[in-house]
Amino acid sequence: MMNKTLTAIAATVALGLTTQASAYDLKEMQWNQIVEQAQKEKAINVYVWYFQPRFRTIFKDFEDKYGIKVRVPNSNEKGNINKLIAEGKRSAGKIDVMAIDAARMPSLMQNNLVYGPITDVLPDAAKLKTKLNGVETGGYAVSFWGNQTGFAYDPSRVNEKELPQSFDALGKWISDNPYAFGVNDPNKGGAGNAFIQRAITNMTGDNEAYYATGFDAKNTTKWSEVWTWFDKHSDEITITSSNADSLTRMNDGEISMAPAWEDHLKGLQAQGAITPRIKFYIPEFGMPGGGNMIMMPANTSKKAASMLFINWITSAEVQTRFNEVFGSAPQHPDADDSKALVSQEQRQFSKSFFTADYATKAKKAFTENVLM
Amino acid sequence: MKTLPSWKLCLLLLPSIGTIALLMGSTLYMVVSQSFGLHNMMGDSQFSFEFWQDSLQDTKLHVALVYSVKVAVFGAIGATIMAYPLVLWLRKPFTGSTAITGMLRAPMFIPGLVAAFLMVNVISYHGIINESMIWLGIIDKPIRMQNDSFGWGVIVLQIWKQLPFAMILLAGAVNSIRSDVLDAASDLGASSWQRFTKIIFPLTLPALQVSLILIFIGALGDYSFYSIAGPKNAYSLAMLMHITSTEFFEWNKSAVIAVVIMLTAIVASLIISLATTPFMKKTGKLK
Repeated sequence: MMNKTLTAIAATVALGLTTQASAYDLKEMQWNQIVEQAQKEKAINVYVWYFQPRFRTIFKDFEDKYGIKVRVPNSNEKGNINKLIAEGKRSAGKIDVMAIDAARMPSLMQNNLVYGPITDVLPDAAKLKTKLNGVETGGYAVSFWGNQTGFAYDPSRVNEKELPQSFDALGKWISDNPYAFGVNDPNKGGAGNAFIQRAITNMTGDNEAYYATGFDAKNTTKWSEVWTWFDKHSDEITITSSNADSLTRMNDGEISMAPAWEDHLKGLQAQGAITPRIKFYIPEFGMPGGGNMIMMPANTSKKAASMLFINWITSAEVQTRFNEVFGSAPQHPDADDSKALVSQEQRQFSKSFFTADYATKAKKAFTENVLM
Repeated sequence: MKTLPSWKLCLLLLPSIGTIALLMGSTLYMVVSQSFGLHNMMGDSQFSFEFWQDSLQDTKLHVALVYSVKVAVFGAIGATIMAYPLVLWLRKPFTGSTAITGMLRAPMFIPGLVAAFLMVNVISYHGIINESMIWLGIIDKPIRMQNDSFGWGVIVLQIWKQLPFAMILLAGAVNSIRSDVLDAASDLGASSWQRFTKIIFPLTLPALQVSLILIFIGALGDYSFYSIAGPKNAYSLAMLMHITSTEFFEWNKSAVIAVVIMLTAIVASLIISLATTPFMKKTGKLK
């Protein structure tokens, strides 16, 4: 009797899940139908690898607005991708929505792990970016987070009228202020790698190949000039452990200027971990800006709720809020970015990041020729 | 007494041997295979010496090997040298000796990452040491001590962390030496130093050998101390292995580094054994 009851319950649950996973097609539904279906799905799991506590707070607005519970598990970037791949062959995975680095998208799309194109369904799709960091996702993911690298500096120790705007000026500033300029190990933080990429383009000339897929070693032959420049300043530059270590040392007064992420600095200042005195600027020689994308796995059983969440997180209203709270660059054109650490004039100096192959080569070459 | 037939003994041993073979053996097999291009994480698998050839010519690996061995040697020797006087001092119980032993063992309960962060806070630009020296008028402005290029910070942390371990191993050996042996030596005119060099040291060499080997292996493969407090001009072997796989996406070369760590540990263990065994007075087979 007991066994029969358990079997009946299991069959009902399985049938329910199957029905839920395959009973509707988002691409054939009106947006109001999607919202209605989403509210029936009650809860979603959103995997984002950073700022989880503060995201949980902000996501309460979504919960209040739609009555859909949002769970943000503690996780890291690589773990999330491994989980997505591991669950890929299941009919229903645990991940409903996932933040992701654009560079990871091509291989996931090739393996049919991503639902899409979501731009066929999102009402504001025309205003959203589907290409980021040189990677076109074909509408399978949209940008929800913009981040910009630049230089964090302490105005109490750096003359703001003499902020270096060219690489020559920066070299002179470093020599005039030994150990005051910090660069983090590029293997432990993207700000360091961003600076190295700009050092390469400013000293050896920019190359379109750096921003396209594929790799040709011939494009890196001049890079030795860059390592020579770093060697020349090796006794004047402080190498730090990570993005956070650079800001901590600046907070502590050890260094006065360092490559940093705008959103990272603003987030730490909002927490009170870093003094609000520290400022940020994008030099005229340019620093890379990029961002993160958001997508839904192909095997989420809550496609309507996931789609509604993606629409909400990429909306102008939420993007404005992200700018206020995190300092991230809004990804919706109607959002307000007046609370950012840098002005719109400075944003024109934003450049693209190298694609993965050249970025990895730059890190490796820096490790071999400068660090070790 | 009736003994079990050998096939039954084998069956009884199977769960433990099987676990060891499966868990350790399969891991070892995988890492060695990957170092030769098999069982690739990405791309096709094909047997090749290419990864070994490239890695053995790689300056990064040479620097990492020298740096890791240096820290492991200093750490092992430093911890055991500091452990001897403490163990001898605490050999005979006195008021407060239990409390002192407890305090000396405290580092065993503090995770390496926490210890490294604590130390960084102490030696940072405006840490306790710099601030104290400025307050005392010894220096005018802070000294940059963090991430020193030699690696003294990591060596100090290794000694601090491994000292209690060395003490536990050496204390057992020192306490097993009967007092009347040492008293007899005193009666025959031996000084404290002679009692140590002629009796205590030779009789505790097996324990010293074990502690040197275990501390060396632990320090060689450590990650956290090197990562937080280590120099910025060198990666340890464990750090290089991690970065090679997760940042450079060279999984096969990362496997080569893993095998190099294991081989270095084996070679070092043999050297320590060969160097110390001839001086042992207390020899014999285990019964």
